[in-house]
Parts: sequence; C-alpha cells; structure tokens
Amino acid sequence: MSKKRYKNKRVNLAEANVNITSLLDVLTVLLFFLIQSFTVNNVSSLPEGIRLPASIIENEIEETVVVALSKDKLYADNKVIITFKNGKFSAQDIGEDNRTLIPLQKYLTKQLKKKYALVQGVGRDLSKLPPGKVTIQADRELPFSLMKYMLHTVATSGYSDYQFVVNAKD
Amino acid sequence: MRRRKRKGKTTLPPAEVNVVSLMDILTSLLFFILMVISFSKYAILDATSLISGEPDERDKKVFSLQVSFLKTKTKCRYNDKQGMHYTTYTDALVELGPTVGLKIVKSSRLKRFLKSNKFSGSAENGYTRLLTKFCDSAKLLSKLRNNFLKNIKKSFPNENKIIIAFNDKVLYQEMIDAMNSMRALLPEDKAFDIVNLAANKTEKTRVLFPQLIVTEDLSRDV
Repeated sequence: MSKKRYKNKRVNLAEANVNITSLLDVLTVLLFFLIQSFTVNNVSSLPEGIRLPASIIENEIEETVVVALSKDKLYADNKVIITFKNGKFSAQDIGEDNRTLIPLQKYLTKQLKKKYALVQGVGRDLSKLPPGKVTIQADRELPFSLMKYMLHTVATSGYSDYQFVVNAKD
Repeated sequence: MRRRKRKGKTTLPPAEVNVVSLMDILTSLLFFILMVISFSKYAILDATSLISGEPDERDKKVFSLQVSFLKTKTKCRYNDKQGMHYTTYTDALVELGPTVGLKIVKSSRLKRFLKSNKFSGSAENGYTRLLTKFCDSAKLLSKLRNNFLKNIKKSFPNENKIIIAFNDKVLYQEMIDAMNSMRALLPEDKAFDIVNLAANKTEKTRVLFPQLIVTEDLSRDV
C-alpha cells in the first residue's frame, strides 16, 4: 500500500477585514441621544437619599435654581450646603428669626445677584424685580417641620415661586 | 485590427441594498427611545409662598379661602382594601373669608351649602368648618374636593387662589397630595357645571383653585 505523503504546505489565509460600519452607526446614534438627554434639564439627577412623592401633575420642569432636601442633607444646585442629624437643623445654621437657614440664604442671594447683575449695574432695586423661581426636590417622607425652614428661606431670599418636583403618576 | 464592438444591451449587475446599517440605527434608536421615556417621568407642581404672619389679604374685600391640614398625635387603626394600617389622625380646617361685597353666583345656593355643611360664622366675618379625625387622608381629600371646594368654586367661578397651610407633622407626600386635590378634581371624579361669567354660559370643568399659596399653620397646637 502506498502511503500518501503529506507534504507540509503553508496555507495562505486571506487578509481579515473588519467591517466597522455597523459599529460606527451604533456609536453615532448613541452619541446623539446621550447629548440630547444631558441637555434636557438639570433636574434629571437627584441627590442621594431622596425619593420624590408621586403626583398626577403633568407640567414640565423649567430651568431654575434647584434646592433639594434629604433626611440628612440640604443641597443647592447639587452642592451640599447644610448637613444635619436627627431630623433637625443645628442652631448655628438657623438665623435669629428661628426660620431662616443662613448658608442657604447666602447661596440663593448670591445666585439672585448674579442673575440680575446687569439690572443692578444700572441702579435698579432688586426687590422690585419679579420673584425668582426655585425648583424643590425633597424626600416624600420628610415632615413639614423640616420643609418649612427651606421654604421660608427660599421665599425670603427672593424666590417666592416654587416648583415642586414630583414623580408623574400614570 | 479593429475590435468588433459587441452588439446588444449591456446588462447591469443586480442592485443590492445593504440594510445592515439601517437596522443598526433603528435598533439603537428603539432602545434609546425606551430609555428616554423612562427618564421623562418628572413633573412639577407650582405654588407660591405666603410668609408666615402676613395675612394682609384678609383686611381687604377680596376672596379668601384657606384650608389647613393638621396632623394630631393620636394614632388610629383603620381597614382598607390593602389591610390594616396605623396612622395619625388628620384634621382639615376650611376657612372662607368675608363674602360681603364679593360677586357671588347664586348666593342663595352658597348659603344653603354653608348651612347644610355646618359652617359657623357670618358673611361679615367669614365662615369656618373643621373636619376632624380622618384616619384615611384620601377620604378627607375626596370630601374636600368633591363637596366643599366644588361648591365654593361654583359660587366664585373667577377665583383661582387658595391658601394651604400645614402643621409640622404633615409629611411631604401628604402635602403634595393635598396640593393636587386643591388644584383640580382627579380623573376619577365627575366634572361639574360652572358659570363662565365672561361668556355668560355654563360649562363643565374639573378645575378648582390652581393658584396655590403654601404656608405654615401656627394657629393650633396639636
């Protein structure tokens, strides 16, 4: 019997081409939608520890200063302004009227001045301008005894129009 | 030598449309639309502030309606479809300011409503009614919406402002529920007839008092 001889042949494989057209399509669409979702508004990110209450309201959010209150922190534009314990603000954070939160008032007054810097520059009185709007996010289980400090401070800082952010019920 | 030209029609190769890219884009679009829909679940509830201690509107001849929600220390146990619950009692105080000099639609109907619902007071000084010891705040809100506020709105169709006051024990979710109930009837409630004073005709509506003024209730200790 003859044995077949197997010669060692070098097999030349064809060059491998990777077609990345589909990948580029997916990435382009991803990019456009990510850009679109980031520019909707700054309320879409909630600080930690806040569960919003539910409501049947359907009004859309407007771009404003955002004040958020969780069980242990008060935020303004996503920055921690006050930390508190046991569901009570500390005495050093509360003003003489026993209603105003001093760090929050300072922050909001600064924001209002920036907003109306041009108007103030020509000598207009800030108190005669239309009230500012503030967006409020708070945990659904917070008692009004905590909320009232935040609401009072916001109102006395020139933001007497509130926008309460809620989870829209279906 | 000249080459002979081939006679006859030139046939083009069959056209192919590559839909792979299109399918990729559509699939990505679909997933991201689903994701965006889940992000857009936030809504806002508008209100304004009334700084505590400044009830200036009560001195003038203007419409004034205030509803105060008060949670008491006493706990109650009640049964609903979801089983037994423990909660604190919620009271509601409805305060309608002086009505002398105000434009009222069918004032006789308002008088009958105030009398039959046990409001105390007079047209000169205003009327009050305290609703007490409600275990289930949803029932309290339903009564307020469908009985009290609806009838007051029928008599004052052009008025849109209401002052809502809360005491310290009221939770934020309860505050939002109360604000919702003061603004308009819920989808499950029946719409009611209201006189459009400008057009001088009757129309159906679910809107109650959409301009909310939030304040703190300081008048009662609980």
